Amino acid sequence: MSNQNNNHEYYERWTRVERYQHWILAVSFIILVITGFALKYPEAAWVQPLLLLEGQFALRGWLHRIAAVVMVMLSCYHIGYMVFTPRGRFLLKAFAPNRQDWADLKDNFRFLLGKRTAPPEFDHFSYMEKAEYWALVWGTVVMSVTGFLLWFENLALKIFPLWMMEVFTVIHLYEAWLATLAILVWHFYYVIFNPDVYPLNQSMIDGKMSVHEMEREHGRELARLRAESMVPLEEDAEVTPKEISQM
Amino acid sequence: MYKRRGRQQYIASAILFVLLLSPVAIEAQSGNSDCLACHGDKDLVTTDSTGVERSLYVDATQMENSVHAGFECVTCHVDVAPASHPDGSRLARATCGTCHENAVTEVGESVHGKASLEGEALSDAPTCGDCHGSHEIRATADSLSSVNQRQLAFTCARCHANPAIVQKYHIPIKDPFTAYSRSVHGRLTIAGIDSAATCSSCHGNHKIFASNNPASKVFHFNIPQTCGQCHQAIMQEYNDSVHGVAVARGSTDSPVCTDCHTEHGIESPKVATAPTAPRNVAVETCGRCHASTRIVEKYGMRAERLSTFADSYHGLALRSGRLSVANCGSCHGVHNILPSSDPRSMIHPSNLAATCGTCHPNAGENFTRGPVHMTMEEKEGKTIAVIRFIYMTLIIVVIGGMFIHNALDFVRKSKQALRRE
Repeated sequence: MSNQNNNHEYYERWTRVERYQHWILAVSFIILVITGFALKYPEAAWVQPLLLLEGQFALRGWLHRIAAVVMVMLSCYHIGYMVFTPRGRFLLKAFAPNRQDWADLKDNFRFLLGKRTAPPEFDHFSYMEKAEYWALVWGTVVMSVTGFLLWFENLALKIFPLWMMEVFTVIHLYEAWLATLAILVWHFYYVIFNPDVYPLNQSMIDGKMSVHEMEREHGRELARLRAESMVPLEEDAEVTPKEISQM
Repeated sequence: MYKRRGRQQYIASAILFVLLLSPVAIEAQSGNSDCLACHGDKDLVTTDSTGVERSLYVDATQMENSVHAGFECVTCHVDVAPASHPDGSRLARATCGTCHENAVTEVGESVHGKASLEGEALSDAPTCGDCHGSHEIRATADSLSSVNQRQLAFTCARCHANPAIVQKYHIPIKDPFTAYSRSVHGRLTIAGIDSAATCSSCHGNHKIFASNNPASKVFHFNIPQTCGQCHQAIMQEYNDSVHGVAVARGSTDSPVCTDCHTEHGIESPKVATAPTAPRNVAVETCGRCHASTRIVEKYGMRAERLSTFADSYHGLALRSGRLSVANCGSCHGVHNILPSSDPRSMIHPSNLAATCGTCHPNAGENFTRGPVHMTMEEKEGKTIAVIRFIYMTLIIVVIGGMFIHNALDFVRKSKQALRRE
């Protein structure tokens, strides 16, 4: 697997444009988290560098709004991508929750509690990844709506009474906690601290996933791919990752 | 009050002018020369009751600058008996009261006069000369006078910024001089603005009393009037305000000018360290009472005014250092603070759109719908509490579930990895 040119040992997990989407999302999300909690905890030591110019220029606030606009634009692009491209529609279908997820969850808990020797085999997305994705969608909607209402408070107040602004503020704060903790506890575990991938799951960098990783994390998908394409076992495979993703 | 020469001074000047030209003046000069025969000697000394050596030298030229120029020594040193004095017999203090009867009476009633009657304090309590000088007494309007506006703070500071004296007499305010010289009044005085307040503007000159004396200009209930000598329009606004009315009704808790602005160190709200500056006003000024359980309970005021502000967007932005957001004064007013039930109040429902509109130009009806300092007491506050509860539960269940799931995953995978090794 050390030989990068030997394409047959890798499956394409993420296309280039999907990786761009992910990293734009990651950067804007991190900026939003830092600049957002900086407003809530203005006396904290880590916040002070952000507030150096506060008297003259509201750096923190503008970084937050710029990152928010980037994230919302990205989300709009992503919706288009998911709806109007074949690859997007494939991903959307793969993200759809189904009965198998429930069975996988139960099986995985059996494994985690030592009642099964191996974890269940997952399809293109495991229930962990599906939960992650839909939590992100939900969080983005909630944060965008409440965030814009708070940003354009004069317009919001043409529709809502003053006390509703307090409701939006509370929702924005608690949803921020929920999102941040979910990323730290759920996402960072699977892509960083998980002993299988530590120190980092590389697939969002190079877009590739090895056969070994496919077997471990997406066994059901691998089996199906092999069955559908009659791709021989790794030693004489001549299919490029691109071809696989188009199948 | 310093610009105008007193009528007495004009009369004295006129008499002086006549005296200087008349043979009597020569006579007087010759009378003084008897005294100066000994007191003109720079080495003439005596030992006082505490054993300290003191000079008895009198510089006759000082008298030329004095408002008393041309007076005979014996006009003030009345108990000189020319026949026996040169033997060294001690004289009483020079008497000012023969001419300045009112001033001496007033000082006698003052905190300084009372102190000089207490035996031990005798040597420290200021006499006329300690403030006005002795042989070189200049008119108050003379900028070189020790009681001129530009000099007075330094004169008072000789005792009031002296740690030994402040400690010995338990004077509560340790160093009003340093605070004053930093203050807006002190800086204007140094800049040569004659109308700026100096010590006597607020404390009086001869009639200085302790602040617990109802006759004092700095007695709690007299302070608005004292500041109002110069700040008249503000005093009237204040007198109509909720604080002014409470003070007029006898509340010692209700703030007067000095409670918000400080006393000697009064600074413009534009100075970052001023307690009235945007960044400090909520915590250091309004919050001292409105976040005080004792005062809130005593007067039946609404609680959590400070904490609800501090956690609001305005409060958070202000704590971040954004000074342009609303602080207490932006909505409630400053000197003209009134309850929301008063139609003149900036936070009366009919004025809210205008008050909020200062910053939020399109502020309309909706700005009045909902409490600004939202607490659990309000029905809207209960809605907020329900949302908060739902989210807290969600966070605990979801994040807790994720944590357990991944902790189990970590343990299981680590065990398998160990077994493989």
